[in-house]
Amino acid sequence: MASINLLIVVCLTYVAFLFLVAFAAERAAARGRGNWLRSPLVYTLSLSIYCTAWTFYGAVGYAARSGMEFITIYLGPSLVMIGWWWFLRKLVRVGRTQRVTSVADLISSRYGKSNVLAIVVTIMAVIGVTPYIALQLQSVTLSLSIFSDPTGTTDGGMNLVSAGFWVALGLSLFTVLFGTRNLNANERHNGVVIAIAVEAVVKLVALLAVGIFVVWGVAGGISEMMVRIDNSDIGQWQVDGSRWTALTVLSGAAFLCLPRMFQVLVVENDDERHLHIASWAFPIYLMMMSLFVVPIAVVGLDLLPENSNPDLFVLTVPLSQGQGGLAILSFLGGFSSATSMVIVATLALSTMVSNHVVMPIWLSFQGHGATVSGDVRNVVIFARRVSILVIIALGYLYYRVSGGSGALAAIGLISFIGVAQFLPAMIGGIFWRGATRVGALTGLLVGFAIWTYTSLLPSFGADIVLSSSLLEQGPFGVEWLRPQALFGIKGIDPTVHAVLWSLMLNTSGFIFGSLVSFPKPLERLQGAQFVNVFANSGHAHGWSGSAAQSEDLMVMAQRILGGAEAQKLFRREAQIQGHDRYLPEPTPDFLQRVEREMSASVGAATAHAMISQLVGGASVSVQDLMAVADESAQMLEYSNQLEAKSSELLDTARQLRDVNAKLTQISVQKDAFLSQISHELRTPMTSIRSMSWRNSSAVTR
Amino acid sequence: MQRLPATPVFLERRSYRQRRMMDAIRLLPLVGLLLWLMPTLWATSDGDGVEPVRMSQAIVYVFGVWVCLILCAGSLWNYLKNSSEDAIDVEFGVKTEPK
Repeated sequence: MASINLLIVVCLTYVAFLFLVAFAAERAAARGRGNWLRSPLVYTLSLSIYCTAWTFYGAVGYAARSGMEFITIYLGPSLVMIGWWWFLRKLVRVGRTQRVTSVADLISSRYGKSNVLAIVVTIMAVIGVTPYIALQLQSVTLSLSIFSDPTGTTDGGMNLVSAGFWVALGLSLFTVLFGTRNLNANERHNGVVIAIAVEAVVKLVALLAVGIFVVWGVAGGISEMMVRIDNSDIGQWQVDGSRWTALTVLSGAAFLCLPRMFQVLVVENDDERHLHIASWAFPIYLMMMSLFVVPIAVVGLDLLPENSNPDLFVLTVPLSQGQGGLAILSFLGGFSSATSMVIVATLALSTMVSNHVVMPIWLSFQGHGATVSGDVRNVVIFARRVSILVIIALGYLYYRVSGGSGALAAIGLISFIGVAQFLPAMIGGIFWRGATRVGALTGLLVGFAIWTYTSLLPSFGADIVLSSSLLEQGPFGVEWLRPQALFGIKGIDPTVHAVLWSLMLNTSGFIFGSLVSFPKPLERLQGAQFVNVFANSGHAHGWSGSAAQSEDLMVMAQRILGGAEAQKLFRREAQIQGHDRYLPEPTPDFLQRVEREMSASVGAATAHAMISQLVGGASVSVQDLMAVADESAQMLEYSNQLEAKSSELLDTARQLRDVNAKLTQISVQKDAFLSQISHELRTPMTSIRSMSWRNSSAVTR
Repeated sequence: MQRLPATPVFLERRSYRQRRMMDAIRLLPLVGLLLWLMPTLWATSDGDGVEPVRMSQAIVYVFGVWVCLILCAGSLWNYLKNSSEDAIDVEFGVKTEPK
């Protein structure tokens, strides 16, 4: 039996190994030898942070409790990946052309670089994801405890709380070290990505190893396993159809909206072709992760005592069979899935918090923030590090307060419904030009309120936040407002109920708000650029650049992009503009390029605010809008004009040719005429002349 | 102003096939969704006298659909990967009609 001390040693060695791998990857990338770090394989593996400790431990527990239903959590993302053409293709392209840094940045950027929206999305994301981080800490400490007490019935005398603390500390250290090394989100975090790719392999191998052991080692083969499955408690189909459908849709939505998934799918994406490969490779990964879940659950139900925690079957089954080594491997798998999720989730959230909450506040405190001296890079990086620590601390706090209770799957689902509220604003923003900021804000707030009321607050249990009388009879005795039976529709499963109402009312609010409001110029421009991303990857809007001075721009860009990077950008631009001076003219094109570069570091809204401080606020004039509002129409018009011109030219040329031919013909006629006339005239003239000469000479004589 | 650049009526056989494969990629998730929603129609253990679907059958069905979808997606990707370079270069509307 593996002792707890051995486990801690293994754990630390593994963590040291991860640090080493991340460090080596950073080194290789810095030396320009990092091409292999950006292969489709690494991209696909990095997507596997979708499979957290919830998957690793929770799926088996879920299967033991309610049969096949667990699999819906993987069916949704598989469908989204296989259907990459519909949505992901556009999302990734938009993310790359707009240099989006997070899901909040995407939404804020689409709706006129609105900071309010960015803050709302950030807060929602933090609230939605914190329980999820707590869940990971809980699963790691729970799995540690199992080694000191294999039955999993008590806490086993180990100090779980302090174990949770050390895990949280280690994770924040790793994230701060490798996640905030470079500022520009588009420079990508090679170290982190490679570390989570390694962890992806570890967790897959671990789960497969336990599965193979269970099927061939315990049950004795596939057909025996199948018989055993059919004879177990979960041997018959018992899935509720509405839950099955709702969870499939929900997991697909969450796959797109989870901040950490957005980070690896869009922000860390290096090449759009990787997405094509991941479209079938990632479903393979998901399938393998869920392949042995039911067998492990069934064997666990068979072998272990009644009261043991099904969430830990992945560990307790090998332990009960005396397979200490396998159990340690499986522990490492669970540890990997928990840590990779926490790292990427905090990274994504800290980017959002620092770009959309800290930076705007800092800027407004600075007054004319963009023109004072000082290095903004340090501020941003510092803000990001503090946010990482705060977010992990929040997760730890939640874990302490909630006391590590509740099934893993239930907490995960609540989190999913929360982040799925971004979906209408995201899809609407990419496909519908009529979507406006007011609509997006309405939808998000409505969805968030309903999620809180129907899902988050009731999850704490009766009489904790919501009183049991409120849950039973509704607020003020109004039956129609009962948190888990809105509008008097009873008897629906609470999760389905929350998904249905929150997403439905969210979408309705979004559409209604968009229909009745009128977008600002910038919103319309951004909308056109997002929706028509494939038609034109050109320019969205113009800064009226004359007010901004190149020197000021240079100073500001240096402070955000760093000296060398900014100088390179300016030098290149000067060359493009075709003069030898060091500073380029602040043309609208150039201003836009600077803004886009900066937004990759500090987010669209902040970058926009900083540039507008320099330029003097007038970002878009009506003329600009008129000129570029409908780019596609404009381009169409232009090409039509060209076409018309060229056909006009052709006409002219043809006419010229005709005239020319006529002229030639006339000239020939003229020649013939002249030659004939000269003959016809000369002969009688000569004779007349000679005649008259003779006559005159005869007269004189 | 109203006139869009004319889209060709007839494509060369190769690019015609590519476009149909793109259609297939677009359809694939819908097919998958349909197949994976089938289980909602299955009899459950509290059905009225109808024998519920056994777990082993359910596993075989769900994973079978999964494997099929992956194979389809993979082979479509493979097909388009090999031919996509010319897809852009193909001049539309000048070649002969596919027979």
